[in-house]
Amino acid sequence: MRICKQTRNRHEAVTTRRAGAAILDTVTPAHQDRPAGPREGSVGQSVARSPRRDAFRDVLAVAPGLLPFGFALGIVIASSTMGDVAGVLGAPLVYGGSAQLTATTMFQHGAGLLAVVGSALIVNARLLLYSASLAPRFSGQPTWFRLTAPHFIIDQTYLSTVDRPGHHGRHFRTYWSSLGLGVMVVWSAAVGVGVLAGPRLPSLPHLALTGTALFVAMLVPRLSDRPSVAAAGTAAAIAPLAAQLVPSAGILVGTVAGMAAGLAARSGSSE
Amino acid sequence: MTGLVPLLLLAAACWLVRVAFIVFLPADRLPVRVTAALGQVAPAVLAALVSVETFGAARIGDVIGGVASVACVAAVAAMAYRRPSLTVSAGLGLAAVLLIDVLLPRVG
Repeated sequence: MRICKQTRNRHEAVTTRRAGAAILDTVTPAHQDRPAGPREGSVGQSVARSPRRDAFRDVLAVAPGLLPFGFALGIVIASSTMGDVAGVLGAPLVYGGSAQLTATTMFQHGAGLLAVVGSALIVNARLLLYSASLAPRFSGQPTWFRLTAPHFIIDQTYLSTVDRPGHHGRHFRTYWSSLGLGVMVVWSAAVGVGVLAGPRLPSLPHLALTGTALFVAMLVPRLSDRPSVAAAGTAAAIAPLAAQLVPSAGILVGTVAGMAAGLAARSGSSE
Repeated sequence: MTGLVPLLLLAAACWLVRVAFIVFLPADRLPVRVTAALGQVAPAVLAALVSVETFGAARIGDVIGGVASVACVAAVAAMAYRRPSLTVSAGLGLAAVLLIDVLLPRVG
């Protein structure tokens, strides 16, 4: 196994972000006209334009973070007993890198079916928060869309969509479907390439830093007010502590604690 | 193909989680405080991810690699504060990986 297991288990393998320097550099200036946000860059795009174009740009933006994580997951799959075909099929089916990573690792160690599924589900439990947060965007959509399209909810699609509040109705359907499918293609391809080529490459145990760097770049512009800073600070402090106790629940516990702190700060500043 | 069975079950469970508040329990029925707290999901989850990932990366390998990992994250944060660019951040992250995993071991 070329990637440290400890890191792998912690990984939001489906992680993130942004690619194509030339493309992004052309995206960034377009956002400088808009009046929103405290600091604007390639993070946070609020003006509604062509939904397909926006989705395409967001897919390109999240790709650099997805590729190394998908690649890393592919390496793990290739070295596990789960089977290459099952692992690659699991990429679009589960559509959650950290969950699949957890499942693959536990399967490799001979854990029971319920333990494998349960642990992986805990890792993905923050999707519940995304589901609740995105629910208003899905309300009023056709039933078929509300039943099928949430499958595309992952960190990247959630964060991209939050930054695109201008798409509604049919435009939102087009944007979300294009974004979800595009990210899924990138993700699945990265996993596939990792399965095929990973074992032949030198060991890169810190590969996940690429995704972490992109998360940092997404986080910093969001620290625009006291509640956001309180939420982020608390989450950053609590998550690693919680991960020491229950590795699979660290991110979720940190997130919930951060949300509570953000809410408290918001209540405090409005009084 | 036995490995596919847990993945299929996991996929079904993840779908249930994803549609929970969109199909089964409409979010507009949630308490106001919960709805308000959802506005902080993005910074909270990002900070949690960064924190856990950074701690994890810092504990891989030797001390130098750990310090370099934390320094990389700090450098990206400083850069993002001045000019948020995901392209630059990706480049910095990749450069850090090559530095820590390829270059430093050869020098050491």
